[in-house]
Order: sequence, then structure tokens, then C-alpha cells
Amino acid sequence: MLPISKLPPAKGLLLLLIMMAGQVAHADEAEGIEYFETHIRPLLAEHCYKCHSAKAKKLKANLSLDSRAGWHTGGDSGPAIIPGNPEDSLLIQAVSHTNGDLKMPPKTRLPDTGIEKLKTWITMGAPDPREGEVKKSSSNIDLEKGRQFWSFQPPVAHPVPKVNDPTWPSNDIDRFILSRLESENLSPAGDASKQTLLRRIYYDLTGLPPSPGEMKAFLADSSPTAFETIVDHLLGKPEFGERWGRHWLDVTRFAESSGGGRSLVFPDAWRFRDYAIDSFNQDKPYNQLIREHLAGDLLKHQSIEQRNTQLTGSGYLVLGALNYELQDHELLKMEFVDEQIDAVGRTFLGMTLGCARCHDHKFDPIPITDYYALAGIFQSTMSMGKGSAASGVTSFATTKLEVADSGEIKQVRYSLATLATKISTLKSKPGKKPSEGSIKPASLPGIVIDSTDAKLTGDWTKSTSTSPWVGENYLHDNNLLKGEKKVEFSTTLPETGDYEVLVSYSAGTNRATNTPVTIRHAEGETTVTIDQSKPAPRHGSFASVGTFPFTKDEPASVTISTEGTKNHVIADAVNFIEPGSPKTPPIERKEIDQKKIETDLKALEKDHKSLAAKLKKLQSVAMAPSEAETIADGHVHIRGQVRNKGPQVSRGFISVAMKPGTSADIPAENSGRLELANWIADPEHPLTARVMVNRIWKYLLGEGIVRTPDNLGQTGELPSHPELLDHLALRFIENGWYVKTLIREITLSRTYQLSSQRTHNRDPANRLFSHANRKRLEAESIRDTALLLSGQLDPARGGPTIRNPGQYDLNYTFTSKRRSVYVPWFRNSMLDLFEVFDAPNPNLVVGKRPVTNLPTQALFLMNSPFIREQANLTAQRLLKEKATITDAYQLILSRPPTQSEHTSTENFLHQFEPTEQEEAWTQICQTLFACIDFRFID
Amino acid sequence: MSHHRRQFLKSAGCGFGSLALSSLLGSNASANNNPLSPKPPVLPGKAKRIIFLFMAGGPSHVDSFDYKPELIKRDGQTFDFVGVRKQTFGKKSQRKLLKPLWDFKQHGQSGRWVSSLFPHIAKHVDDLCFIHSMHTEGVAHGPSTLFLHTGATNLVRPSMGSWVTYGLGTENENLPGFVTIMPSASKGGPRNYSNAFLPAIHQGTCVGRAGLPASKATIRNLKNPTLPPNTQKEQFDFLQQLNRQQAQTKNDQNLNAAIDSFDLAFRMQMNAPNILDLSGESEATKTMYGIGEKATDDYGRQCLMARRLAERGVRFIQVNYSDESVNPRWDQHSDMPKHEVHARATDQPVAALLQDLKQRGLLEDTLVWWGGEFGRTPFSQGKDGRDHNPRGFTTWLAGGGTKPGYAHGATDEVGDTAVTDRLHMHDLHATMLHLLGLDHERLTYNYAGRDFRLTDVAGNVEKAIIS
Repeated sequence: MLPISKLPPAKGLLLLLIMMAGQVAHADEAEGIEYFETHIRPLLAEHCYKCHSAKAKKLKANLSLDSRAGWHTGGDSGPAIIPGNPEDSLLIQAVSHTNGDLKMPPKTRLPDTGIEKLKTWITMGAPDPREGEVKKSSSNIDLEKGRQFWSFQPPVAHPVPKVNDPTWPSNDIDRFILSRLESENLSPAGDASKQTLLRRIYYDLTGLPPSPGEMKAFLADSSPTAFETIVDHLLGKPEFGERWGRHWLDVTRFAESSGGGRSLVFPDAWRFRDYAIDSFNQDKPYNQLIREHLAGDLLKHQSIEQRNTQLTGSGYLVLGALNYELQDHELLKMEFVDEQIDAVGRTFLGMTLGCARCHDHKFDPIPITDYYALAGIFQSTMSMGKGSAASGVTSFATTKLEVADSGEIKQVRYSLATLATKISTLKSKPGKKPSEGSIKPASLPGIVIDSTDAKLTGDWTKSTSTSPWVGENYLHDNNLLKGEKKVEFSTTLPETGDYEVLVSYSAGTNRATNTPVTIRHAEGETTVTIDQSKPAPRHGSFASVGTFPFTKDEPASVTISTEGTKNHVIADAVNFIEPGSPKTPPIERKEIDQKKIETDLKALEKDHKSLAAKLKKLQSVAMAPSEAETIADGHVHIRGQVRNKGPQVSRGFISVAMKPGTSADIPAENSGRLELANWIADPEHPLTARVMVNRIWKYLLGEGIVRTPDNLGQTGELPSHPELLDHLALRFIENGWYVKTLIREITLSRTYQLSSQRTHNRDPANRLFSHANRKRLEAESIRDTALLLSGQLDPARGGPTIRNPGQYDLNYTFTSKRRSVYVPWFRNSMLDLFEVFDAPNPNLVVGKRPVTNLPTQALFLMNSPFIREQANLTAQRLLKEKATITDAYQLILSRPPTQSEHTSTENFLHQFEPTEQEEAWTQICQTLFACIDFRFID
Repeated sequence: MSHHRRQFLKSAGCGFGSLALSSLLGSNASANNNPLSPKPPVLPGKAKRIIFLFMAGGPSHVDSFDYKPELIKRDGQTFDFVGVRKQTFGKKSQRKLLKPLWDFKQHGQSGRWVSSLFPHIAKHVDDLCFIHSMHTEGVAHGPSTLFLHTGATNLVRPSMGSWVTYGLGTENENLPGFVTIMPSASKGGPRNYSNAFLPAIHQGTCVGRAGLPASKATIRNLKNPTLPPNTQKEQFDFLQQLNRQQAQTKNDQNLNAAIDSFDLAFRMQMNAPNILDLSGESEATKTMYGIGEKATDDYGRQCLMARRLAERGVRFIQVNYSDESVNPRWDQHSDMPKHEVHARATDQPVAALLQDLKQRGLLEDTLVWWGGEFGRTPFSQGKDGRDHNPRGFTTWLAGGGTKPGYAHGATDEVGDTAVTDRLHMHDLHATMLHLLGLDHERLTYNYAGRDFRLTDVAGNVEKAIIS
């Protein structure tokens, strides 16, 4: 403790007074010490020392309670006791079990008498004779030392090595590879056959096999540039983006639903998928891709198209896995931020940043403060939909895409409104005009609450100026005192279930277009906005605001507010339609003209539907973050606990990867995402280019130069060819970050074109790339090839592919025949073939898919109806073409059968009667789809 | 044993363990070669396997096993409650206490209290070890269900069954080590039996799924829909003939592993259906499980399948009482009397399973775990419903080295919050791993730069419930 004279005057005086008070209240210190010895020391020893003393096996939360200094200094959460102030002392909060995050002792609450004694003691000023010091742990991370690790050192240009056999290399890549092999006294394998090579490059670049015709042409082309021509041809095909976009979707943990308890469908996530495919097809420079992913909403643009594309790219940040059901919203927000940090770290930097959420990274030189410096950036970013952050779970962060002609939207809106009026007129008041005054609540289905029964806040004016309305009149806010008025319609509902909620208003051009309506239901609150300038189509004056779950006999309420509105807000009535009731209320109709009305209605509704679809397309949204309303630095959260705040940290990046002497320099008014993007995309960043180059190498060669592509840190593997990695990284940057250029360079190397037949038994893991790694045909390629050969593959590209997207991905039935990249990709419900054949877990960043031989794969190939169907259709095709056994092998395996395979197949075929030809060929095709040479790429 | 077979096991090829194979490998073969071969436990644990009877939705403890006379006395009185839900988080409110809807009686030698909801289970109280002081994380079904299975409400983590097979391997070559019978696709769905970042062999294998009748429950693609077995055998031989020809010259262990996975799959196709086929069981057994009775047929079949799987050495068997709806089965926010439907569906099958295991001597080394993701509030929601209660609820264990006829911990006098000998879900996980001979602090897997475990950085083994 500081001497009193050194404290600021006020504090010193206060302390002095407290001490004096203590002295007055308790005649001498001896009495306090005695109280401590009689009541407190035994209590602490019995209940606390096990974890909070020198005796503890492991000191919990760095808090010692076996010395005065221990509680005075406190543990991770700060001082445990404030002498004289039991209420604010953490110790008392902990033992009282009032704070959800802090309950001590954790198993059994102290008896009340014990808590009272502690309070008394603290009120006394917490007299404590126990001497002893506490060691305060501090960050042990030495950044200078940390920077020495290879991946934090910027890549440096290495001279291309000299090789003993200068005739072997095709390009510099080969010189790096060969020189290393030579130094180990190893020689490279022979070249792959042309057949093998063509199948390899087709699958690697497009995910599909060459046709027998393409194979024939390639075999016939003896020019030295034959392969180069193929590479360039394939790089230009749209299938290239479908293959490489899919790689990228693995790395960006892309999915079209949220995962978690109730896995919510992201109906607009497909735009990000198409964006990824397009980006690779257009060969977007990788540094631009990074900027778009992290700050696409903030980048400058020259055209609407560019703006929309960039915005779509930033969807990366918001489509991570999250359990939107978490009720603790502080925690939910922090979990979102954590997901973003972890993903960004692994996708772009090959770093495991998540480890630093609770403490300094144990292996990499990343202090906890770096984590929370990044957290500040994402906390200053709006990543959840407004509804979800505040209460509900039904909306995500989206931004409207711009359209060239906004007049068209207006036009369509106007036509739609007109149509809606016509429809509602026909429906509700056959043969009469709609403006006919009051709708009787009794004539409506469901439960109706009229404005006369609502709770009003602020001044509302009754009116009957605009028809129709429910009951006696409707209310309007006079377009005054926005935000101060609201009308709450509440009731209790007779059954538990999903009710459709309708809101009535009399539409008019002077009405608010964004009236907020908040529905309080069984799962929380959801706020939607309604456009009261548009006529409400349901029984005369109602618009649906959605269907929500309500619990029987629990309060259900709908609140209309004026917050953020311009123009008049109307509050008239609310209608709850119980589950299972018919959509259209029974309305008296005149018998006459009924047929004509129905025909007219049908036509109008058809028009309405197509116009609505058009409007939806025009008004489309992309999942995208935006800058938060409050931009601020964050705090360290001690042990990662949301409510346990430590010191504030300036927004910033990962220190160890920053150039010494530089700082993040994030302007106070920016979240820092743009600055983060620019820092990661900087050519001098030590990790960025290496990580990407290594990924590309891995996709082509089967293994990375670093074999842990998402982890280039201390716990990752070391590069087998560090000079080559740097060489490729620097070339990648110099050449403008073009992925296709790099792919071209790698595939044209002799190394890529080697045979997979090993010629020696050293280096069993083939770390030196002396031969090609035999690769597994991935789930998508198995499916796409089967569909292609059976003639079932739907060649359509892009666009939304989830049939009737519901709220959850639960039990989705997959029927698509499109390429696998377009099959809906959900977190809690995946196409069985993908699941069985090692598709990546979309909850995680996956740079290297697992490769397994589970018998479930064999069972799938032997017994699944899917494979059997494709085999059957392929067989029919072959029979129709009067194909031979050789043709079947050419089609499915891209090669003719060997002599022994031919004999085996012939023998198998002969077991069947002539009438069983289709069955025989079906089984042959299925067998070829299951065999090793189909499932592996040599 | 061929070289490639050994390599196959090493390359983590197959999802199924191999007692037989590892014995064939002889004493030289390290058990570590096959990730699923049985591993000796690190601690002396009595339990060799777990059967988890998952009661989805949160059965009410105050209506079933947690007897609270004070709650009966104070029926209808107001109660101060601190909110855990979104709108009411941390806020105090007054709620009305609702007494149990069923009468409690003491049972057995141990005199444990059980309500009339569970007359059959009540007969087994002397074998049960009740934990009345459970508490957990999350408030909604999704987070709490994930927490129950994986020890995390939001982050993607392996399921307990995956951890257990990772730690102990399995004992039957022809069956998966972790089986979940009729899981729901809802409330986290596959994540509840996912291996997450553990090797894929530790993923739970589904038998059927919630919402379909148990009589139709089987493993996906286990049967060929078109070919009779003898015909398929010919096709299978043809396939393996081609495979061997293709692998012959290539000298690649991965190819041999793929060939072996076909052999295993075919063997499994021949064996597994018999294990799931209950027709060979005696009528008396079927009757005991309630098979054939409308109310109990599904869960009775599931429980009997569980016994058959346990007998054959499956390590972790989850028997789900769940469905596919937004409100899972035990989730009576209104209409608590509906608990009776669910009790009727599960009571007799569960009791039968306990008796069956006991008479076969399997209860000794089988840990039976009954429970939901949380309990329910002692106060009413609406007229006769109860809300979720993660702060205090009851779970019971049986066999596998647990203390029989014992009751551990307590909620407060009305049953709202665990107060005495509180046991967090992490603690329960730690204790169950301990019973299996696993140290929850040492059962770790390195992923993304750090060691992960089921209990994160928490969990204490509760020795008091171990016999």
C-alpha cells in the first residue's frame, strides 16, 4: 500500500477516515485480528485454500487467499476484497452465488452465517495479520524472439539452385525439387503416361474427367505444347471456378445455414458461393480477394456491379457457424467475434489465433492483448442482423445490392401495390369498393385485438379518414414526436404453437414505409418493419408480419412503434391466426359472378407472384457486415469470460507478424477492418502469400510444402522446401497475385507431371516430391462424374439452389442433379454422399480434408441407390451405343482395361444370360465406380 | 496376417475395431496401430461401456425423482426467480410455484423417492445412483443439448461417445464403436454425435433416425436394395479381383487399405443386421421390454438393441428418446400432464434394460446414464407447464462402478437451484470418464495448435458417487 501522503488528496483522506472509523468502531486492531483468527482464517482454510493457496495443486484464477497481499492484489479478476466495502468485494459476490459466472466454492454455497461473518470482517476493514508475497504473472511473450520463427520472417529471394542434371528440369520449380533430391542421392520417378496425366489435370483443374474424345485427341497430339494447350484450355473453362471455388469454400468454412441447435438457413449465402466461383474464373488477384472478404463493404468502387461483388465477398465474415440460440447475448456477440478471429487467422494467415482468447498463446508468440486488439475490430463491426443481436434469431447481417435502374423498382412496387389492392378488393368485398369503412372484428378469423384494447404510449389520434379499419376507428401518430409513441397489443393465446401474426392499417401515400413492429413470442422478440404506404392485402386491411411460436397462456404481444419513421404511423388492430387455420377467411360472397371473380383472381395472383419474384430479384440482398454504430476499442476478457473485463486494448493486429516499429494506425472512426485487410494483403506480410501458395501447391501435388496448410505456426509442420515456398510466394506477389498464373507454372513443371510410381523406398511420406502423390477422388468428383457419365448432370450454373428455403436446415431432402458445388451445403444436414466421402466439416476452416477408408464408403459404393442408379443409366447408355468392355473402361476410368481386367470382366459378363444384359452392364459400371482406379487419381 | 492388413490398420483405415484382428496380429503388434483397437484404460475403471438413455427436451425432476415436500406445501405461492431467458436475463421476477403432478413414494431398501410417473424404474432404485444437484450451461434446447453431448454450447467439439472410443477403442471388429440409436436431426442434430476434429472413425454411427419406427431402424446402406446376398457376393468378388489387379503393381498401402475396407464392409453387411434384428429374442424378453405394445414398442426395441450392442462390445451406445419437432418430447411448457405419455413410453423399456443387463451380469461393467439436457422449473409456466431449468435437475446412473441406491447432492427446498454438492455437466463428464478408466485431463487431442478435451478447462471427478 502506498503511504497515505503519496495518494491523491481525496483518496488519502478517505482512506484515513475509513481507518479512523475502523479504529473508532473497533477499539483496537487486536480485536479485529482476533475476529479474523476465530472466524475467518478457519473458514478460508476449510473452503478456499484447496484452490487458492500455496497448498493448491494448481492455483486457480491466480488468486491466493492465504495472505493479505493475496486478496489485496487479487487474481485474474482483480482485488478480491475492498476493505470496508463488502458489497463491492468480489469475494462476497462469489460466495453469495449471485453472479452466474462467479460462484465460489463452486459445488456448495457457504452457510449464510459464514457469508455474514465474511461481510462483518470486511466491514471491519478486513484486518489480516498474514504476511507473504504474491507473484504476479505477466506476459512472458518475447516478440523479438518470436519473430525469429521462420514463418514470421518475410520471404526472401533465394537463388535458383544449380542441379547436376540440367536436362531434367522444365522450370525453376523443378530445379528446387531436383537439387534437394540430388542432395539426398535420390532421383525423381519417371514421367506419368499421357493418359494418366490428362485424367490428373482434368480432375485437378475442373473436378471432372476428360471425355473419351478429349483423351483420343490428346493422345494424338504429339506437339511439345500439347499439355500446355490443355492447361490453358482448362484454366479458361467455367468448370475451373467450380472446382477451385469449392477449394476456397472449404477454406472459408462456407455453409448455407448457421449450425448450432436450430440450424438457421442462410437464404442468400449462395451469392458468396457464386462469388467464390466467379473470382477464380475471373482470376481475381488474391490481394483483392482478401480486401473484399474483410472489408468489401468499405471499398471504393467504380460501378454498381463492382460494389455488389465486393459487398458479396465480405459475406465471408458473417456466414460462420454460430448457435443463434444462445440466450446470453453478451456471450453470443463474443462467440461471433471469436469465430471471425479464428476463421481469419486460419484462412489467411495460417495461424491459430483462437488459442489466445483465454490466455497468451501457449506456443505461438501471440499475447492475449493481440487477440483482443483484433476483437475490438470485429466488435466494432455489425455482423449480426438487427433482430438477432437484440433478441430474435431470424435475421442475419445483410445489405441490399444496388441495381442500375432504381426507377424500375419503383415501377414494380407501384404495379404490385395496385395489383394487391385489386386482389384484396376481389377477395374481401366482392362487387364493392374497398373503401367501405369498418371491418367487424367478429367477421375475422383467429384472435383479434383492436386498438381500443391496446396499451398506448404517447399521444395517438383516432381517425376514420381512410378505409378500411377494424372496429370503431384506427390510430395515427400525427407524424409527431417520433420514437416516443407506441401501441402495444397484448393477449394470451389458447394453444402452444406457431401463429401467423397479421397487423391491420389503413394504407395511404402519407404513411410510414418502415414502421417497426415488435413481436414478443415464445423464443424472444423479433422486430420487423412494415410499409404502411402499401395496401394490406389480407382480409381488407391486414398484412402478415410472419409466423412465430407462442406458448399457451403466456403473454403474446405486438408493439407498433414510431421509432425511425417518417410520415404517419397507423395502429389499428392485430390478428393472431392459430396453427392450421385456413389462409383465407370465410367471407360471405354473393353467388353471382363467383366464377368470373375466381378467374380474375387467379390471373391477378399469377401476375402478383411473378412481379413479386421480379421485385425480390431487383431488391436482392447479400450477406454482409457493416461498420457498427459504436466504434470502440475492446477490453481483454480475463480467461475468455465475457463479464470478466480486464484492461482496454487499442484495436490492432498480430504483433509478431507486424514489421517491427510499425503500428496499426486505425482511425478512431473506423472499425479497422479495412486497415486489417490492407495489412494482410500487404506484399510484405510474412504469412499471406506463403499460406496461399502452399494451399495451391497442396491442391495440385496432394500435399503442401508445409503439410499443415491452416497452421504455419509453432505447432504446425515445417516446410519441406522453405526456399521453394519463398520463391513461389515472391513470384506470386510479383506476378500480381494471380492464382491462374501460379497454377499454370506449377502444372507445367516436370514435378507435377511425374508418375505416381515410386522408384525407391526412402522418404516414405514423399516429402521430397520425388514422385506424384496418388490423390483421392473427392466426394464432389465422385458424384459429379457418376452423374456426368449417366447423363444426369444438370449443367446449370450459379443462382439460388435451396428448394423452398425454410427457417431451418432440418431434414432437408436433397434432389439436385447439379454439380456438387451447387448442392445446398448445410451445417446440420449434409448430402449423405458428401458426409461419407470426407467432405469438409463446414463448421471449421479446412485446408486439408481428412482422407479415410471407412467401410461406410464401401457400403455406399456397394449398396446406395444413388450409385446403383447412375451405374444403371450409364449401362443403358453403353448398351445403346453398342459399347465394348474397353469403351466402358475408357468412359469411367479414362483408360483401356489391362489384359487381365478385360478377362475378368469378360468372365463376369458371361455369367449372365443374354436377357440379363442390362443387369450385367449395370453391375460392371457399378464395379468400375467402386474400384480403386476410379477412386484414386494416379 | 499380410503386411498390407497391418498397414491398413495403421493407416486408420477402418471404422471398426478389431479384437480378433489384434489377437491375430500377435503379441508383437502394438495395439496403437489401430486407432480403434481396445486400449487399456489409464485408471482402474469398472465400466467398459456406456449406455446413454437420452431424454430429450428436459424431463421434470420435481415431478419424477427429486422429492420436494416444501414445493407441495407452497403450491401456488409466489417465488422469486432470476431470469435466464433472453428477455429476462438476470432480472428478478415473481413466479407461482406448482406442486408435482404425481405422488411420490419411497422405494426399495434404499428408500429413494420416485413419483408414480416411473413405477417400473422405481423397482430398481437400489441399483440407481441419483444425482439431484446437476446444473449445466445454456437455456435453450440447442445449446444445452450440445453441451450435454460435447461440453460446449456453441463451439464445434467432439461428442462424448467419440471421446470414449478415442480413449478406449472398441471391442468388436464388425461393429462401430459409437452407435446412436434413432438420433434427432434437430437441436444440433449430427453435431451431437460428431467426431468434430477427432479422426473420422470416432464419429457416431446412426441406427435409424428419430421420427421413423424403431422396427425399421438400421444402419444406412447396410443392405443392398436390389441384389440377393449370393448374387451380390459374385459382384463383390469381381470388384475385389479388379481391385487386387489394380493395386498389385503399385505398392501403395493406401490402396490395400481401401481393398480391406471393402472386406470389412462386406463382413459387416453380413453380421450387423443380425445384431439389430430382434426376432431371435424370446417372447418373454420382448414382452419385458414392452415390444408389441403401442406405447412402448419403439423405445423397447431401442433398449433391446442397446443391450445386444453392449453384449457385443460396442463402447458407447446412445438410446435417444427424441423426435424432430421444435419442442422436443419432454418439453412441456404447457400441459405437464403430457409427461405421462413420455414416462409410459420409456419407463418399462428402461426398467427392462436394467433388469436384463443385471441378469446377464452386464450391469457390472456397463454404465447406464439416464437424463435430459436440463430439468424443469418448480414454478408454473402458463397454467400447467414448466419452463427449462439448467440450474438444478436430476440425472441418474446405474452400474459401471457407481454407488447403488445412493442419492447425491440436492436442489434448494423447492427444487429450483442445485445448492448442495453441486455437480456441473463438466463434472458428470469427468466422473463418467473416470468410471471408464479415463482421466478427463489427460484424454486430449491436439488440434489447431492446442490440446482439447471433453471437459475444456473444467470438471472435477465426483468420487462420492463411485462405489
